Amino acid sequence: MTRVLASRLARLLAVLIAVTFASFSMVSLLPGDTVTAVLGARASEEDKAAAREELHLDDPLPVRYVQWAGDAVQGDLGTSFRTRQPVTEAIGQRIWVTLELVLISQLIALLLAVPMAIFGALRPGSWLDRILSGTQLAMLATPGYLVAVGLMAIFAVQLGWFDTTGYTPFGESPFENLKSLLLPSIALALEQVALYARVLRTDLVNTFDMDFIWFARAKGNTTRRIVLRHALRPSSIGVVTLTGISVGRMIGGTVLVETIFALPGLGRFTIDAINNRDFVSLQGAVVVLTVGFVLVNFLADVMHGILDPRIRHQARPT
Amino acid sequence: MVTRSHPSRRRGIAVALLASAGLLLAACGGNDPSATTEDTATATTVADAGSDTTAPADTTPASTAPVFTNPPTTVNEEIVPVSGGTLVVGIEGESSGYNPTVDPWSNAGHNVAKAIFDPLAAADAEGKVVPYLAESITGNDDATVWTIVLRPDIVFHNGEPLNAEAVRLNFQAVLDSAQYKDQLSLLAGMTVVDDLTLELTMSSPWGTFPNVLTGVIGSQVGYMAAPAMLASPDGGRSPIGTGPFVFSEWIPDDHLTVTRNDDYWQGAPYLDGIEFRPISDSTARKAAFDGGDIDVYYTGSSSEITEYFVQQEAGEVGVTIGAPSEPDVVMFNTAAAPLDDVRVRRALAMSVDIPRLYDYLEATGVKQPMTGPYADTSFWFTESDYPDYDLAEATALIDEYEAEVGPVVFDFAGGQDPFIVSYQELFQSMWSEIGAEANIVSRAQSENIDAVVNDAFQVILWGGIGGGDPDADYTQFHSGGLNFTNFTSPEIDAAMDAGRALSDPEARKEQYAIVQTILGEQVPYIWTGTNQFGVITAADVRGIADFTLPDGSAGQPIDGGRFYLKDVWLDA
Repeated sequence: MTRVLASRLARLLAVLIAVTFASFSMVSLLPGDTVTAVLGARASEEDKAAAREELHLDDPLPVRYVQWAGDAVQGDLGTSFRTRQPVTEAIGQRIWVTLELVLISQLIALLLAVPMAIFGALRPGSWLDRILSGTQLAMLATPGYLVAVGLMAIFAVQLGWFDTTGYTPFGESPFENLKSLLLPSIALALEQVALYARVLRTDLVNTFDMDFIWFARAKGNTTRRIVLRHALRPSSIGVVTLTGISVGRMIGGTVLVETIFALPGLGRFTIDAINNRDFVSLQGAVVVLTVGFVLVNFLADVMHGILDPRIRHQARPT
Repeated sequence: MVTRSHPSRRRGIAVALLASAGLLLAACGGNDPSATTEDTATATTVADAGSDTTAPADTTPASTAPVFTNPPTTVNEEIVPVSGGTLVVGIEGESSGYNPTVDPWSNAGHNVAKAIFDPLAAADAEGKVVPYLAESITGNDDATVWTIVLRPDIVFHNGEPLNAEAVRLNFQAVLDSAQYKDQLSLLAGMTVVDDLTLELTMSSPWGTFPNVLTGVIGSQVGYMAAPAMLASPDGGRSPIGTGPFVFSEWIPDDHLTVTRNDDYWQGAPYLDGIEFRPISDSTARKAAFDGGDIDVYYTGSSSEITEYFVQQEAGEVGVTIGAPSEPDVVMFNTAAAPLDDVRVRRALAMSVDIPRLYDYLEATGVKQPMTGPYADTSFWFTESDYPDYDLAEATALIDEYEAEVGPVVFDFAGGQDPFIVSYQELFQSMWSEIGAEANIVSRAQSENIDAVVNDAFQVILWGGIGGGDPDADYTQFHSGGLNFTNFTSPEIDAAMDAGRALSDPEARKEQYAIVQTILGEQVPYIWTGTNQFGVITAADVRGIADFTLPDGSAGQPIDGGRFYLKDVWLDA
């Protein structure tokens, strides 16, 4: 186990270095001058030059990266030159919003996707399966923006069940917290529902055709027991993998959802940093998001081992 | 109980995006990407009604007088304002901070700032600049020495006194600021005469100096911040002013709250507090208002304003239109062919069918056509030879140019919002009717700013020019300024210099008439009309149009999308 963890950590470190360096490079390639973005078009050339020096923008990219990384490993992600707020503090204010949003979304997506997949797989090609497939296709095809605005219009404006915008911290009121995140979470989850349901349905259909399922049927097990005890677990590997991977997609989706529902999350923070060429903030966000993504996928790998003993045994050193 | 309409995403909503993202005002009025408007400060000199100062002149232009509709206000004497309640204001974006000497503010930033800070001067109901924190602002005969006398007994929220030294420190912070030092470029020296008197020496005559003290887009010099705040590296995160509300809490991207300043020098405001909520998506902002989550928001969308006018008739909401902000323009780079030929520029202007544009924007009856940088309701307006719509003449000019030089083909840059692109396509189709070929370029705002700053454009949707006091356009029109169009003229330079030095509005108007005449003939810009903002308020919000000055007279409550909230109250 220690070896596996060490291997994972080494991989995480490599990914972190690659991703942060890539984002460093990409920021420098972005059109638009960082200093002009900060000081405005009216700033004199002298002031711009001074700002460039202060921000070390004239240093070679690798030098800047090493300086930044040196501070980052000591827990100092720097201070935004635009807002003058320590990046760690800024991220700390926002990360829980995004974390909650992604977690609730994943929960909603799985809660909806699993029954849809099961009902579809039990009668492949039936009218119910076709309706569910059609629904999933519609979920995939509907732009997230429309879903978000539509949910807001119906459930917040027309019915008044939810607030249109804003966020209530969990510590302030768990109920209001859930209320403030439910619509955005649904907006974020719908696309995932379709993806998970389609993958799981396919895997279930294949599993239902396997010998051990026929054997279970021959023994007189109920359909419910066959699905829940025998078929679902081996069929879940694909969905678990997809869940890990889709966290990255979801983080991208949070930018849109957080903007529409005015949530103070990390996605909005990241896009603001990009728009304002605030590379210090952007780097901080990238690190946190990368660590999060890698950790989630690490958990997904662990889940594979739990779900499928063969993977566990393959991983064991001989 | 307010009954509100179902929110729908309308094409016109994106007009707000056009006004903000597409028009790139940030390049001129600060660098906040969400910056939307400008300044409409007018007038010159200032002396408080009750003061015995000797100003260079005491007449000022009415300029773009605000147009007020009929929201419920305290004008009705039977309605007695009541104290209490928290107002929730939806703003279009977040600011980097609230240090007026460093952080560039869009409408959003100014609206927060107007709650926390007071400016040294403000505009009265006619747009005339009058002292506010100052008791008087007096210039000598040639406007090279200005004396600011402060009102006594005003303190910042942290207890520091507002005195001459505090004002000096504020001005010094501006002079030390890379972002805003150009706003006081003529300030050569400062002398603290006594506790309440500061004397400023200018390097050359500056008759319009009081204008920069009103706190407008791109010029935040007038807002007075506490010296302790200026001295703190992150003072902008905990702003301290003398304003009607005291900063309480700021969670970026979520909310900023202020509470009533019970010791406010003009008397405590009615509201217990205000919560500013940044909602950057225009559709969500409208939905938040329709859903009752915010009490006030402002919009540049003509279709939204029109929609709320209907609801106002039923008493469901209030709509207040402020002084028009700076116009939208199509800007030419007159140093780049084929736009270096005035025939081409005139032809392109001649072929723009303004009613068709307004119909597309759903702005008919809201936006007003313009023929120069100042609306015809402005004191500064002068008739010019700006071309009227004439397709035949435009075609003839293009044919003439093509016969002599070659085809009229150019890049036409704008933002990336689909609505802005379709707006560009409308221009493209109108220009194609006269034989000019516009290639649409869609870029991020920062790229467009870079292109303009670096002269790498031909034609672009732009903003931040005109609308207010002409001196605010100095850097745009003068050859020594930014002058993005590259159109220069010794006559314009002389007139802009003279206009800046003079104090008498009529004399200044003569100078700016010269500028408008030349701009009308040479057409470095196509003026597409006034940019009108509406402040939308819930039915129980009163007094949005009742901004009073320290002497009790009416001030200009709304300037573009910016407004004061000290006299606002909630009808229980």
